[in-house]
Parts: sequence; C-alpha cells; structure tokens
Amino acid sequence: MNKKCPACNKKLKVVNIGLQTFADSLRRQGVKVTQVAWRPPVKHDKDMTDLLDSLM
Amino acid sequence: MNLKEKIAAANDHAVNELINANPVWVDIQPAGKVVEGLEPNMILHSGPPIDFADMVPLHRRGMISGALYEGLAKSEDEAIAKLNKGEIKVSSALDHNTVGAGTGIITASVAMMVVENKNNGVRAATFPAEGPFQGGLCGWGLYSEDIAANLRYMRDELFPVLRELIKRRDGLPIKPILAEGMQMGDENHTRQSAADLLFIRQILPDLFRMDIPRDTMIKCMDYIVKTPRFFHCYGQGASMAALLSAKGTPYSTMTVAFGGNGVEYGIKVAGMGADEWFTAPAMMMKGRYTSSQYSEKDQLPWIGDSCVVECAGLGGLAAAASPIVCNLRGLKLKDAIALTREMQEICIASNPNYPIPNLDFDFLPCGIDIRKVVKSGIAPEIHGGMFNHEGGLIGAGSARIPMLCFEKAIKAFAAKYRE
Repeated sequence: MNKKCPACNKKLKVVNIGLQTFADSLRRQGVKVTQVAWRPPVKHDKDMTDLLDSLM
Repeated sequence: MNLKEKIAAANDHAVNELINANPVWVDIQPAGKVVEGLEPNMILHSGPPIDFADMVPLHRRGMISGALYEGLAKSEDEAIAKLNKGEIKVSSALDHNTVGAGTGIITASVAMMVVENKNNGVRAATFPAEGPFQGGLCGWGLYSEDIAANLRYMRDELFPVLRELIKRRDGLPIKPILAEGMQMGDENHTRQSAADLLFIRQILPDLFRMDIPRDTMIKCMDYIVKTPRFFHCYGQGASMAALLSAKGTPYSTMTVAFGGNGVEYGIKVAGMGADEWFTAPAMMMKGRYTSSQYSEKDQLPWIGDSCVVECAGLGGLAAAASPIVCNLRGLKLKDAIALTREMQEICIASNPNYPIPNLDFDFLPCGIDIRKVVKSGIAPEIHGGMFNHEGGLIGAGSARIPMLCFEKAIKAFAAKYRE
C-alpha cells in the first residue's frame, strides 16, 4: 500500500535520483519510487578536458 | 577523415574483430611449440613485465618452481642465482600469444590448449587446470614431485588421447558454449558450471568412441569431469585469440589486454604498441573470504591475467548473466544487472552473440574504450579469485581496474595520434 504524505495527506510518489539505497529504503516502507540512474559528472582538469574533447 | 572519424572507424574494426571472432579448440601442444617467442630458458608470468628481484614472493616462488620443473636448475639456490643473473629469462605472458592465469608460470614443456580464430588463423594458447592439483605449477606457482609427475602424466598420457580426439572432430567451436553457458548462469570468469557441462556433452561421446584401452579412457574422463572449472582455459583462449586479432589496429582506443603481477596492474590498447603497457599499483579485491579468519590484510594485490575475459566482454561485463556469482559477494540480481548496464557506458558496442535472459535478452557490452572510461569515471569491473601472500586461494570477488592505467593510456594515445 502506498504511504500518504503527512503534510498534504496525498499518496507519496517519489522520484529518486542517484543513490539506489534511498529508493530501496522507501520501497521497503511501501512508498512508490521511480529510480533514476544518475551520478555526478566527473570533473577533469583543463588538460584532460581538452584532450578528451579532441578525441571524442 | 579527421582524428575523431579515424578513431571511430578503427574502433568499429577492432570491436568487430571481438564480436565476429570464431574461436575453435584445435590442438594441444607444448608451450615451446605454440607460444611465440618463448625460449627454452624463459619462464613466463602474469601481469606487466617485472624483474625477478621485484616480484612478490608468490611470483618468485613460481619462477623457482618453473625452473625446477623445466630442469633449468637442480636446486632452489641455483634457480635463484640463474634468475638473478638473467641466465633464466622472465617475460610477461601477455607479451606473447598466451595468458598467465593466476601466477601464470609457463615453461617450454608445459602442455597448452590451442585455440584458433578461424577467421584469420590467429592462435592463442592457454594452460589447462592440473586435475587434482587445480592451479598447481602454472596457476599457483607450486612445485613438488607430485605436481611435476602429474604435469608429465597430463602431457604424456592424457593429452595425446585428447589431441587425437580433437583432430578427429576437426576442432571444437568455443563460442556456442560460451553463449549457451551465459544463458544458464555463467559469466565465464568465476563461474563455468554450465560451460563445463556443455563441453563434456560434446567431448565424452567422442572419447567413448575412440579405440583406446578402457583404463586410458577412464583416466581421460576423470580428468575432464573431476577437474573444477575445466572450461576456464578455453574461455581465456577464445578471448585472447579474439583480442590478438584486434591488437595493432591503428587509431583504436579499445583495450586488448588486462593483467596484474601483484605489484602493478596493466592494460594494453589496440592502437598503441604491441608490448606497450599502461600501469598503476595493483588493486585489492572486494568480495567474500572462504573463512572469517581472512581479511584484506591477508590479500595479495591483484595477480593474474584471466581478466582477459573481461577485456573481451565476459566476466564482470557479463555480471547480469550470473547473479549467482554476484551473490557470492552479497549482491542481488538487480545489482548484477546494474553492473552490466554500467559497463555498457564504457564499451564501444553490444555483442549480438550473447543475448542475456536477465537483460530481457539485451546483448552484453563489448570492447572497452579508454576514452569512455576516463570521461565517465567508470572503471571496468573484473571478477576473480583472491590469493593470500603464500598463494592460497582465500576468496572470490571483484575489483575495479585503476583509473590511472586509462589516464596514462589516453595521454600516450593523444601524444601519438593528435594532429
């Protein structure tokens, strides 16, 4: 059964971005969750960024 | 064509060498006959090149074991002296057409399974498991009179029969066994349970039809059936034959070799030199130990070349095919699927030969691209066994290849090709 939000008294529907364990935890509590696979983009230094840009 | 177009065309060529490879087990021969560049006084080892003096004790022991087995020295002291002076040469297995699984100790008289890519005649040779001694000399670097006697027995009594068998049936195609096995729960690195059975189903009827003494037949059958993970050497041979076919493709950023020596881990790239390695300190594995008495402090950093199977698109890249293997380290089916999906992000293509039920029959990723690895920050996941410092197997698990290998490789690639 989907849980209700205590603030608005509506059924909770969650979109979780990134860490899978947050979605798993909510599902175990009966919350409907849509998981979005995402990770922060890797930050490269300028030389590596330029190098990658030149090759792909 | 500009540089990006040349890379795209080269990678298309290289990955299709992997996808379209037709590896067939064709022969059994002593390493001295089939491993290119292996000299009579040379011993091969796993991972990037390393001097004897710098090796971990497990590799040093393997070198001494190899020298004793091959008759290059009569005692351990003599072996050490000759290895230190260079009178016995050491060389990386992956700088030849072979694979150094585990310690990867290969000497000229060790019998090797020969796998040929029928598309182009490229051959790779890998050593089989040593029956009741399992890793024995080649995989675990051990030496005893019993291990030496068993190796000679395999070479002189079992393998002439199997060699005749494989000649009569004009070879055994490996790819269909890999493909069907991965639909039955194998990922073909840590687990070959299905492939072993599929292999046996093809080989035993031929063995039973041979006109040989019953005692010989039973010994051959026992060797094949009772040796754990018998098929592993064929998966490695098939992978290596395919990777060698892609090696030397100018402008390609696809990886063609992975391996570790307990000190360094290294990769090779198709568009770079044949013996050009890009290395980083060898990584530790995460996984499950065989006993609660073991922990990371007991573990030797990554040693072994069996991860060539990941380089060719099996093993860790096929995690979704084998949730059983992933469960060994506490993962669930969804984690295994996520791992394979993640590996797709760093690969050039998908391999239509390997549709996987757990992926709703999507294909496995294939052809790791060093550019995508560096850009995404996603390192390839490789499966394997954990060794302790004395050479015992203490668990199974996985590791991520160090990002430094790929960063070094892409910088060297840019220096070579950037216009």
